[in-house]
Amino acid sequence: MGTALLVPFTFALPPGAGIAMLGGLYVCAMFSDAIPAILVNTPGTPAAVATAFDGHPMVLQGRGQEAIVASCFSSALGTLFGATCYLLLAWPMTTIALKFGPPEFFWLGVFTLTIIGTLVGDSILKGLAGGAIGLLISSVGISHGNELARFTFGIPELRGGVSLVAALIGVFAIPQVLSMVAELRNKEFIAEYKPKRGETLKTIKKVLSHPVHVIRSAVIGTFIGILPGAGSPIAALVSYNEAVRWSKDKSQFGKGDLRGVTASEIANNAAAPAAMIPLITLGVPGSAPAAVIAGALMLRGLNPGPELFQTNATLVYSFGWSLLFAGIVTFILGSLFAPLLVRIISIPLRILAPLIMLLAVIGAYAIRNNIFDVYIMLGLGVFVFLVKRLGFHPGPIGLGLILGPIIEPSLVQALYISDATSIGRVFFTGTLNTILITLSVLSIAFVVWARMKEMAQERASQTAESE
Amino acid sequence: MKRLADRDFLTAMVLFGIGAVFSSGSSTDVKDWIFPLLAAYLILGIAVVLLARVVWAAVFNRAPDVVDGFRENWIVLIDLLVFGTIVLTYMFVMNGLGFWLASFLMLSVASVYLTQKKTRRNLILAVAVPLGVCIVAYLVFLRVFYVPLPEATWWSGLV
Repeated sequence: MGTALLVPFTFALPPGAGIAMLGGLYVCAMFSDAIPAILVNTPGTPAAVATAFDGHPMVLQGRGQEAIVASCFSSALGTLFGATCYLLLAWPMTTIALKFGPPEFFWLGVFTLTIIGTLVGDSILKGLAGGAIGLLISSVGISHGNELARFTFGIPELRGGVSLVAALIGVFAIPQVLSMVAELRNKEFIAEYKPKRGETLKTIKKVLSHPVHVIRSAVIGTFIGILPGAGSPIAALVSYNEAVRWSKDKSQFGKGDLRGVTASEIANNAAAPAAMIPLITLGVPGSAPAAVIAGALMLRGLNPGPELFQTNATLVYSFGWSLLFAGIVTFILGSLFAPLLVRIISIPLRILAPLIMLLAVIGAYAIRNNIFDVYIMLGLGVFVFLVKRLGFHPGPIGLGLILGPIIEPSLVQALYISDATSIGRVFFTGTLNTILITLSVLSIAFVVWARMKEMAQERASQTAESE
Repeated sequence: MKRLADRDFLTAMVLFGIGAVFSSGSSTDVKDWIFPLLAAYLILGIAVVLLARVVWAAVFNRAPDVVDGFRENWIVLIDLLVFGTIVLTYMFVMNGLGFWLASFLMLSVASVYLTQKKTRRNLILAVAVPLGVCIVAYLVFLRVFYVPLPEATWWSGLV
């Protein structure tokens, strides 16, 4: 939405500066969406959902400044990597992206869904059920096949589907506000905050002490960023999942592990410049903000695509440099303002809870200017607040909401393709399908193995205690 | 009776409800419904497994995992209900009073109610902060970014 709001401001600028401004805002927003995710457990955009998993627990442990600095440094690293790929590897990466068709996107969505295994908390079943609830909510509205109205219950507003942003605000922000109201009599603030000197340098060293993790997250982010339609949320979730899988000590993930924050932030920021690659090389926007930038280019009479490289190479490359520069500025501003930003958690809950409610209402309403989205947000929020008491985690529900709009259209399109051949041929052949299916199976097997190991350890410790 | 307040039993009931609501669709083309139906059947399947777990626990006389109610802490329940009522009223009057006046009222009434120590300073803060926030948000969203928010229909007010 930010890029769309900024478009009119760019009219007075030369094309290069105007497009750089939009790209800069996109990159900075990929960092700033982590601020509410970390501080109040409310992701600013879907791309920051995974950041909240470990970022908010860090705040509760009094490590809010560390989380914010880690987030902005990781964002800068991700942006630098993604922008460098944009400048140097745009064409070879586009060739790989073109190999992704509907079946590949379907399997990519299924693979991303396996992250539920690392989010479920105590019960795999409730995690799966939460994911399925998210997928069901995302399927409300007009079907992708014959454009039938599904689950609209006679309510015309539901024909347009449930707004993803409003639903995500409902799933994450409203339960948080209600929890604040419920805890108000026991605690005055979200958490204690004591400013620490030298925190920025210490955090940078901590982030850089995991070089393999940093490179892996950046590569995942960049690769997923170039896939049209996948975008930063998927990049962040897959990167988080891989960080958990490849970590030797998995026990701290979800409880305030710095690597959880960096995995998500590096990937979602690397995906932002990468999403510009298919836009500039093919004229296909890789994400919603990239589509807005495409519109801004067209308004100037510049058509994104291979022709742009020939007619306006200076603009294409200066845009890449501006993204790179935006990454550096993000880090400077983020680390400078981190101590100030963390003070949000020192606002008394009695004032903070209604304020978050107001911002949630504005956020849900402003996307489509539809008051019905606000009702949906509130309803979903109350539902998630209640089911959390039954042992559900908001993460899988949010994951289902994000992945539904990617998995379902891919599934339906692949089924249409299979009408001409066969389902087996469409879904189960091809190198990319085989790789993604293998990864999904391995991911599920890994979750089952980790659970069994955990249970065996629990049983062993119980036996030792009883003896 | 405690079995009825068991976490798994209540979860199964919620999932049966959701599964029943979302497994009702059909058309001549399976592609329209295959995705939501698969998700709904997964939910129903999980509900059955959870219910089987509850029965299993009852047969082997295992203690139920009872959900914490608000019964022990009714003040929290009252806080939630009052806050919920304020938010619902806010939704109701938003179109009449206009977004900004309704928001200011919601913020200040909620902040005043949630303030435990109702000292003069705290009460002034509970009204002054919402006023400041509404003015800043009004300027940013309406005057800078031109984000249209619901206008007053009961009076020709600020917006």
